[in-house]
Amino acid sequence: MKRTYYLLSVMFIILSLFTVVSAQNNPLVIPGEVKAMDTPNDSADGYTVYWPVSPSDGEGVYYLVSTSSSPEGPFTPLTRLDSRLKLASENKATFGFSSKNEKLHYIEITVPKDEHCRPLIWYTQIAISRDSEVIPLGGPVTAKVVSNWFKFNKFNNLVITLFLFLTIYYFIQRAHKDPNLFIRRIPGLEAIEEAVGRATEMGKPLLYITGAYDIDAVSTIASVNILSHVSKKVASYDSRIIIPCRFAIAMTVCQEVVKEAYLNIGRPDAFNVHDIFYVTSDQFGYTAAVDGLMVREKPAANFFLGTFAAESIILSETGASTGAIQIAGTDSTYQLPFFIVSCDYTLIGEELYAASAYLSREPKLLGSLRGQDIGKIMMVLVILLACLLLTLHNYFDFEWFLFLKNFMTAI
Amino acid sequence: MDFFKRQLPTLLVLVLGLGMIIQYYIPTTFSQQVLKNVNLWIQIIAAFTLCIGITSLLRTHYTKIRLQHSGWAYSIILYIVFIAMVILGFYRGIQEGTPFRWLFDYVQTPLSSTTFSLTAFFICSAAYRAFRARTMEATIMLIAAIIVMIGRIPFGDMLSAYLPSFIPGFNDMAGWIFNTPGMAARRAILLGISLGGIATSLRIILGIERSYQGKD
Repeated sequence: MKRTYYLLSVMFIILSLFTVVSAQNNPLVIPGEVKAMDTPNDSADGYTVYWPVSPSDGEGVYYLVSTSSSPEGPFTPLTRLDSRLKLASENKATFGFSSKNEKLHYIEITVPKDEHCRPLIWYTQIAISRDSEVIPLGGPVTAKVVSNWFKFNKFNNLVITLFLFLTIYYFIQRAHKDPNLFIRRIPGLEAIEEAVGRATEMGKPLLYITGAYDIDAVSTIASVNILSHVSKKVASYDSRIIIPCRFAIAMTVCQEVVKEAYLNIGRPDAFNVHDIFYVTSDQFGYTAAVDGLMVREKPAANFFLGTFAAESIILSETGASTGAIQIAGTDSTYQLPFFIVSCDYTLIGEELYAASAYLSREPKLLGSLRGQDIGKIMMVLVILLACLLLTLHNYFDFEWFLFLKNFMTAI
Repeated sequence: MDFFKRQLPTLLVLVLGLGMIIQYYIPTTFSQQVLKNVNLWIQIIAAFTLCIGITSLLRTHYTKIRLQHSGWAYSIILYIVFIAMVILGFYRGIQEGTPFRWLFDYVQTPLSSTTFSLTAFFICSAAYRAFRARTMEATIMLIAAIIVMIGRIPFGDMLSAYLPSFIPGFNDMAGWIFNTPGMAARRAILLGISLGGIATSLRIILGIERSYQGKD
């Protein structure tokens, strides 16, 4: 046993010495030339320095980056890069999709600006290092920093957005000629009439919540659009709607929308501005206040439409315990299961956005839904094509397969 | 007057909506400055509307106290706490070690945490309702939920050791349910949401959708 122990120890020492000696015998290899170029798609923020990977790259090897206002120095250390990281292939916005990018290191240098916000000339020096050994990779480099006019890394995004915009616009225009567009039945929206009728019969109010975000969120605007239709029904049934708001801007918008709805129905006298009030912006303070309201007022129907977070289950379960009919709709995928379980009807994702078109039956709005569906078909085709290319790339190692696959992934 | 109520808001939405879309694709210093200024304006407007919000809050609770609606005593508490926090905030500031911060850290924060902790109990009651295996869909959901629950606890690893080798462990099964069918469904919903958001934005920018202005 003792002999084995000694033998192992000796082997370990020999191996360690061998590793140290071999590391010292392998000098650091200076890779090719260090280059610099203006960082694309920015507002004269800086330039990108790149250089080829070195055969010495590995554990314990670092690239030291230092900068200076003069090519003669003195250079101030900026950062230390692990030689196994920071490959140009990770930054497709600057270097594109070429497989050669896996053989390049890069770093983005932010250039200081003068009092007129013009970028200064700034130099960068790269050195390769291991332990105490430091070897500069050539002289300092710099690049002319310019403000770009277009974010080319968002070009694919722009093309798809324009395609979607044009498709939706085309179907909106087509709806003028053919107003009888089919739209499938959405039970949650059909139930609005039932909910308002029930509240009227019971002599109890309705509770409407526009979600966790302010009016700058599309989901809140979609919710307010539905509120417009709901409040018209409330006005015509001579019922009452309570809207506790989490944001003051959303509150003023809701007040205007409900007031207009009452005016349109011809019952401005029945509108009560005090039923639409601000509570607090604090997530759980708001939740506690609305829970208390539900328990005290016992609304006959609760509407939870908009984006929600953790408060969704607390609100909807409290509402369920009071016996209210509940209609929810959200674009928060993590909260959907809670609403589906606790509420009578749930608008899933895009149904929240389609609700206004569905309720108004306005041909132009319905036309936009058709355009949306075409966009969805296109997305599905892109996904299928990307899957096919990925599969083919595994069998046929063509460069353009990889390029197309990466491009599709970027979309 | 009709111009200010109808055309002007739609025109503002059109100009600002298209402007912000164009700004997103242009990285120039001027474009960044525009974005910065717009965000600053949003903050300024939000600060002013907070005054409207507070006025609304105090007025609502004043009405409750005056008419002695159900729960009007809570409205008195709101007034007392509101006034106390304002006085303490102005008197000693809101930094660390002040009475304002003490009340915030030791009253408001624990109260928020208490409300948040209710989710645990509500999830149990919601899960009980969801998992009553009355239909085929509910039964599938129940089985999936049981596998995920067992797969996420150490007990699942213990049980997996007794499974035959050709059956994957509970942890692997739970991971597969999360990452394959669960993720696929989630992404499909997200795709619809993104397109719905784009379509809604376009309808608003073009002035086709004006319900949020109270118009038909």
